[in-house]
Amino acid sequence: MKIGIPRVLLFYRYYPMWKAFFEALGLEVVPSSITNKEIVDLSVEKSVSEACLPIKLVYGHVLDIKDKVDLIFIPRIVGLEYRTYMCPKFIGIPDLIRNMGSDIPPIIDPTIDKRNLIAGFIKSFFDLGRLFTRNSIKIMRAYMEGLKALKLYNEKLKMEVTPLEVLDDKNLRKEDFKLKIGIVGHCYEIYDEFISGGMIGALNRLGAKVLSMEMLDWKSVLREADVLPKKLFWTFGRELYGTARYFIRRKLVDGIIMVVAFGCGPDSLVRELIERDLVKPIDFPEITITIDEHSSELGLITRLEAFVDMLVRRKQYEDNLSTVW
Amino acid sequence: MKITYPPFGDARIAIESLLKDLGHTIVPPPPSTNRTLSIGVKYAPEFACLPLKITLGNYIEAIEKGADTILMLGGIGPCRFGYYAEVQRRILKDLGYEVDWIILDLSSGWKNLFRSIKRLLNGNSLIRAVRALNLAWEKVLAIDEIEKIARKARPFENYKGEVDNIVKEAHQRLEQARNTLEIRQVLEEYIERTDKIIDKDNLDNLVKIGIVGEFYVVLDHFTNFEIAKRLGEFGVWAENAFYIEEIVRIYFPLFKDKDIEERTKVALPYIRRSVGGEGQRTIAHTIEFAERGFDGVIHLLPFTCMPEIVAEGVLERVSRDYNIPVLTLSIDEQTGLAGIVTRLEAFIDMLKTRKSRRKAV
Repeated sequence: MKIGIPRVLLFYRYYPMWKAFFEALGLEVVPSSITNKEIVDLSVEKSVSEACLPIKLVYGHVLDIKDKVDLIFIPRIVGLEYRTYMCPKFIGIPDLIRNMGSDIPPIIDPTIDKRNLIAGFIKSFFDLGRLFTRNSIKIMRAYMEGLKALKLYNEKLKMEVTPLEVLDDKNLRKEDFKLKIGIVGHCYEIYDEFISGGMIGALNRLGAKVLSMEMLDWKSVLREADVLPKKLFWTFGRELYGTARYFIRRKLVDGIIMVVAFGCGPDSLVRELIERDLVKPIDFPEITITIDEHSSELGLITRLEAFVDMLVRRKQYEDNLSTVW
Repeated sequence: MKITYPPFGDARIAIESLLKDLGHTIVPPPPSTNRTLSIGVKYAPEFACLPLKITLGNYIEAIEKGADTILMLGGIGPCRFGYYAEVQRRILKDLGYEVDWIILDLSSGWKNLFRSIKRLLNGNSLIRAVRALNLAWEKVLAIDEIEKIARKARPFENYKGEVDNIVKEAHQRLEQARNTLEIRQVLEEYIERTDKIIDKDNLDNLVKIGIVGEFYVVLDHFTNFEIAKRLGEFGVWAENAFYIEEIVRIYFPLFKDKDIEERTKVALPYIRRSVGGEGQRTIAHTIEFAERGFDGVIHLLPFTCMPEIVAEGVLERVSRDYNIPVLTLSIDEQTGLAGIVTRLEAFIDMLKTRKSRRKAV
C-alpha cells in the first residue's frame, strides 16, 4: 500500500520520522512534488481565499499526489508542547481537505496532541499503527525506528545545515561567510523554496550564512520565550519569540529576517511582541518579509540585497553598536 | 480608579450596571465611530483581526475622556483573543498612556484571577456582588429579548426608525432599572408597543435569514454595519445564532450550559474537533438554521479570523448538503458599506426568488 505525504506544514520537521514509521509498518511512502507553479495555481483555485499561503498549498499538494497513492496522511496537530496549541487552521486542516469536494483517497488524520502527556503522543502513533497491523510489537518497533530517524535528522540540523540539505541529501557545504543572518519564521515557510522565493540560496549567494530555529536547541529556545509575562499559547509563537530572543541575546547573528505569511493569525501578534520587546529597544537590524501567492522573487532579492549591504556596513562600525543586553 | 471596558454591542448596558453596582466610577467608551476605527488601525498590528483594532480605538478614546483602568478578558487559545490584552497593553504603554489593567484570565494562575476579582469587588460583600451580578444577568436576558423582538418587528414598521426609537427608549429605561421588577415592566411595555407593529399573519411569508459567525462581529452593531437593522429594513427577518446570553454561557464557566455543547455535536461530521473560537459552532448553527427551514444564512467573520476560516472552508459543503444558501462576509477596516449593502441586496433577491419558486412547487 502507498501512503502519500504532502510536502507542507510540518513535513520539514517530521518527515524522516513519519517515513521511517510507515516503512517499518510495510507501507510505501510517497512525498508530493516540490512546490511548483502548477501546485500553487491549483491551491489558489480550490482553497478558501482567506487562508494563508501555507494552508492553501495543502490543497495543491494533496491534488498533486492523489492519483499516485492509496492513502493520504494529514495529521491533525493540536499541540506540540505542554498546554500550547497550534494555529486553529492546523487543527482543522484534515476537515478542510476532506470537505474540499474533489475525489481524493481516504485521509489518515491521527490527532497528535502533546499538550498534556507524552503518553498522548505515543498513543496517537499506536492508534495510527493499528490501522495497518494488529501486532503491537511491530508498532512499537516502528515507533522506535521513527524516533531514531528523527533524532538523526535533528542531529544533522544542529550542524548548522538546513533541513532542505538533509532531506534532499545534498552535499553539506563548508564555506566561509562574511555575515550570519537569523531567519525567524515557520519551517514550512522558510524551507518551501517556492513560498520563500529561494531566500536561503539568495542569502548564501550574497555571502550570508543562514541560521534558523531548527539548528538551535529546541528546549532552550522555548525557555527564552518563558520571559513573557503571559505565556504564549501557540507552540509556534513561542518558537518564534524564543528564536528571536536567542539570536539577539546571545549575539549569534548580525541581523534577523522575519518571514510572515500574509494573513497568518498568530504571527500578526507575535511579530508585534518581537518588534516591541526585542528589536526596537536596542535597534537591532530586522526586516520583515510578508509572503503570499503574489510575491515575486525579484522584489524579494532587492530587499535582501539592501538588508545585507546595510549589515555589512554596520559591521564595519561595530564598536558603535549599542549594548543594552 | 476610573474604569473603562471594551464595548460590545448592547452588552454595555449590563457591564455598566454591574460595575456601577459595585461602586466603581466608570468612563464608558464613547460609541464606536470611524474615528475609533482609524485610531485603532493606526496603532494596532497591521494583520491583527478587526476586534483588536476597534477595542484599541475604544480604549484610547476612553482614556482621552479620563479613564485610567481597563477591564478586559483573557484566554488560553487557540484563538487570538486570548492575547489581545497583552498586545494592547504594550501598544498603549509605548504610546505613553499610563493605564492600569484588570485582566480576568485563568491562564495566568488562580492567584492573579483572584486578585483581579478582588479589585473588581471593590470591598463589597459577596452578597452584594452576587446581587449586582444577578441584576446584570437579568439585564442581559432583557437586552436579548428586546433585540429578538425588534428583528421580528422591523420588517413591518410603518416608517423608518420606528422600531429603533422604541428599542432606544427601552434601553434607556433598562439602564435606570434597579431591580428585576422594573426590568420586567420595561419588557412588558416594550412587548406591548412592538406587538402592535408585528403583522402576525404575514410573519411566515417573510424571508428568514440566520446570522452565524464570530461573536464580536455578529453582536457588535458598529462592526457589522448594523446588519440586522439593514436586513430588517429590507423586509427580512434576521435571527442570530446566538445573543449575548449564549456568549456568556459559552465563555464564563460560572454560567455554563450543557445544552450548548450538546447542540454543537451536529457539526462533528464536518469538523471533528473544536478549532477554537466559534469555528465548530458556526457549522452547527448553519445546520440548525437549515433544519428549521430558514431561507439563507449569512456568515460574518473578521478578516483573517483563524477558526472562522476553517468554518468557511467547510461551509461550502454544508451549504450543498443541506441545500441552504450561505453568504460569507469577511469584515475589516477596508470593508465599505456600499459593498456590503449591494451583496445583501443580491443575496436577498436570490432568496426571494428561491422562496417563491419553492412555494409554486
